[in-house]
Amino acid sequence: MTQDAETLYRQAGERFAPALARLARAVERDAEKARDLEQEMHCALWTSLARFEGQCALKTWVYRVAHNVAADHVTNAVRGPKKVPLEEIDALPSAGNPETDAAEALALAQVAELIRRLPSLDAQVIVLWLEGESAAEISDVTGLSSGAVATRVHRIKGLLAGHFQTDPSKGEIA
Amino acid sequence: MTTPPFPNWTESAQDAVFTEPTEVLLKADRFDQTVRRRNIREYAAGVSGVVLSLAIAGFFAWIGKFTHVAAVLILGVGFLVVMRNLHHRASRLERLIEEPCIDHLRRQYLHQAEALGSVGSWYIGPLVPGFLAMQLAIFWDVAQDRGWEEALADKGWAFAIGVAFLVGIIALNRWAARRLMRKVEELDALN
Repeated sequence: MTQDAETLYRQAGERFAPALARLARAVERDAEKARDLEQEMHCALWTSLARFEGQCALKTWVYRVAHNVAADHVTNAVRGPKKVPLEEIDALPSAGNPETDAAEALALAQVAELIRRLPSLDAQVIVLWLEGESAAEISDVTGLSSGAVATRVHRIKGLLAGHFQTDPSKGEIA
Repeated sequence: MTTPPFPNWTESAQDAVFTEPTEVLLKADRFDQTVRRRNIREYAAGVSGVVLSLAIAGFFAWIGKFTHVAAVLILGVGFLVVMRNLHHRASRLERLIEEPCIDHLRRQYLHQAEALGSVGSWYIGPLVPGFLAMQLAIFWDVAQDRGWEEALADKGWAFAIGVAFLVGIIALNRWAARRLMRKVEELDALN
């Protein structure tokens, strides 16, 4: 690895390590496998950065690599619940422990459960939106048009609004 | 970037850090070792197939069944071609992990669909001459003693089952390839 690439890797680590950890934990329920997936993202990123020549923003590059590794992980994993496109989901799925007292943990678990049940691209849009990325940034990472991104975000906001106290002014997609 | 809509989400995993480059190097090395081990296993399987084919061919030569010798050798060559094709296909897979997610998914689906849809030519096809030669040798053996009609009546069912099995494998793989192509069409329809 060149010095530049190693510097970029360290910069990416400082800025995006928590986001990649959240992504890994969202797509993989098993904590140990989620940690392995996180490390797999780091390795893929480390390898790929040797090819980084400023073709896009570092953030876009990092998210693309991480989301593609996550998508491959989901594809290769043992078959889970059948994937249901976002437009066919009417309510948030149960995280399996509805009586928990930890409301926040339950909320996160429910969102993660929703993400695990969505096809890759829908899940990628939701995770990036949760990270606070704009429609243009989500479009850059996923390759979806801004319109397709906006449609998906509108749908997920509708699903979440009924369950959580979210500020409607936050996460507005331009 | 907008204000994160769901603060609980972005507040979690704040203590996460990237794997140290030295550890990443070790992992990459372990991955290379895994690939090397897989290649060695593939070559060992190929060599075992050749050795086994030669041994069986030698046995048939020893008992004077030379049609069987030819059939086993053709089948052995077929296995070698399949091994080569497997290796060639595995090494040809491009992994541009930094491309936009939709392109990455599309590429993966297309690669898998192409591999599954053409399984008849690169996996089943090379084994067909050996399979046919072996069947012919079996028919020939029986026909020498009892005539072709009885040979067909006696051994024809095994041949039919073999053909049905191979056709079934091809059909199943083509069905899976069509499902993947539908996924590609769904991706194309998203934009």
